[in-house]
Amino acid sequence: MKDTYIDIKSLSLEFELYDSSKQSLKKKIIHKAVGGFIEHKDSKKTIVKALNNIDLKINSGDRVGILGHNGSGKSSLLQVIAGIYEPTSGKIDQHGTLTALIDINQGLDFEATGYENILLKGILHGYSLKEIKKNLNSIIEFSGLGDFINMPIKNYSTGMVLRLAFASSTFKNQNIFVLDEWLSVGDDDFLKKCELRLTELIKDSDILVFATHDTNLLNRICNKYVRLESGTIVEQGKI
Amino acid sequence: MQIIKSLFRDYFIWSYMGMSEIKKRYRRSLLGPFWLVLSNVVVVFSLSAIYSIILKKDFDWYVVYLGIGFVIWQFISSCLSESTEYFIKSSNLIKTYRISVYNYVFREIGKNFIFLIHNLPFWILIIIFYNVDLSLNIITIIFSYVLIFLNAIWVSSILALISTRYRDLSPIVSTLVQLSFFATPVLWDVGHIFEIRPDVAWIVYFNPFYHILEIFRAPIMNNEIPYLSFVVCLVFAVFGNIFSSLIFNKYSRRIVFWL
Repeated sequence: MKDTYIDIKSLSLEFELYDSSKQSLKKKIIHKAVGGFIEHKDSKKTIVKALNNIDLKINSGDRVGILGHNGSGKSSLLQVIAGIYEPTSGKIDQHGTLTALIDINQGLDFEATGYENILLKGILHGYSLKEIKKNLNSIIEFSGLGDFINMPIKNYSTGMVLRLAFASSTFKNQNIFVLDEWLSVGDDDFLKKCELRLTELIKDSDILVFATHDTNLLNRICNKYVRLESGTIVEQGKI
Repeated sequence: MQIIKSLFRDYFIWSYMGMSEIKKRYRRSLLGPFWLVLSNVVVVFSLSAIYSIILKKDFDWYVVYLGIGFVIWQFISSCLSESTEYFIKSSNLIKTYRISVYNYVFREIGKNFIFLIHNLPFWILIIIFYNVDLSLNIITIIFSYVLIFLNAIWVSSILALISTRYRDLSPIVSTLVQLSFFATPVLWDVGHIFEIRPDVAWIVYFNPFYHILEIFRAPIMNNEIPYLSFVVCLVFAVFGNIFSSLIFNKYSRRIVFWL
């Protein structure tokens, strides 16, 4: 199974910023009705270019670290790869199953028990209930929660929540893993465990795309890097 | 069609999300689901006591009439007025996971649908207690449930989409829902209007909410199948869902940009 790849060709992503008058149906209708006669001075669009003409080919076996300042487009690039945003122009081709850990705490229900959250998180990632239940023991074991699993997760510590969320999203081999920088917030123990699991998961399959500020972590996990600055790739190479 | 595919293929995703919403609501209440039913019982009996006098109706008849209509109206009004928030309140999930946006619609409709079904024991009790004559026509309300579900889906998904882009739709919708409650025969009945003003009463047939209520009320209360209302609801369900599918094919990928 060596045919996993991500191929990005001259891709751009633009956001239109909507101020409150742009979000008003009433103004839109009035504008349509009288638009021919009155030139509206607020009719200019505000557009933010989050990604600008990105060319990037990621092959099987690549662990790509994405570097850049806040607002440089790291997260946007990950979200495009994860299929959340549709590119404004250009193309993205990819082959292989994908799990994106963009914001790992999203989708957790803090009133529900750890067990219920494993199921919830799993199905949001597109796993079937059968798969999740089959791997339940290994998920619980990885998260190290023991008997806490039947307690509401609002009683958990931040670390416990993080472990649970990570375990329930990564129990199965996927061809492509996409990780945003949240990984940097865990403690050392947790990081080591995550690294171990990730290396295990991407050992025979395939691609890891990882956004971070932390160059140490990048050096340990990745074998390639890409540096983004205001939505453009300014530097890329091997580690 | 995308909508049918999502409804069945992602069945587990939206039903599980809907169930966890329901559990969330009931987690700390002693009576659980029956709290909702109990509050309906109180409202229906109090309103019946008042309005059966105002409208000069027999209490035993009126309490069944309102008991059915009120529960159905509750479903309609919560689907419509909550729909404007469907995508906005799930904005973080939409920006994080790749699941189809239909799941966020189905989750909410499914939740309200289960609340609607909760009220069945209440209906059965008032039917037995007030000696409503039933015939086999009552079986048709199974189809009524299907039709109300299908209609809720297309209306809510369109409202959810537009109100994500245009945020001032939400107050308009809630005002219209309130207005419709008084314009639709929930508290009053059509026969009454036909007695007073037969010349204008036909307008009620142009109110789609009337037909939705009729497909539940007529089989239970009048032992008849309201063919016209069934046809109206079916036509709305089919064409409405085709219409909303076309809109979603075009715009569903834009939703995340509007959040």
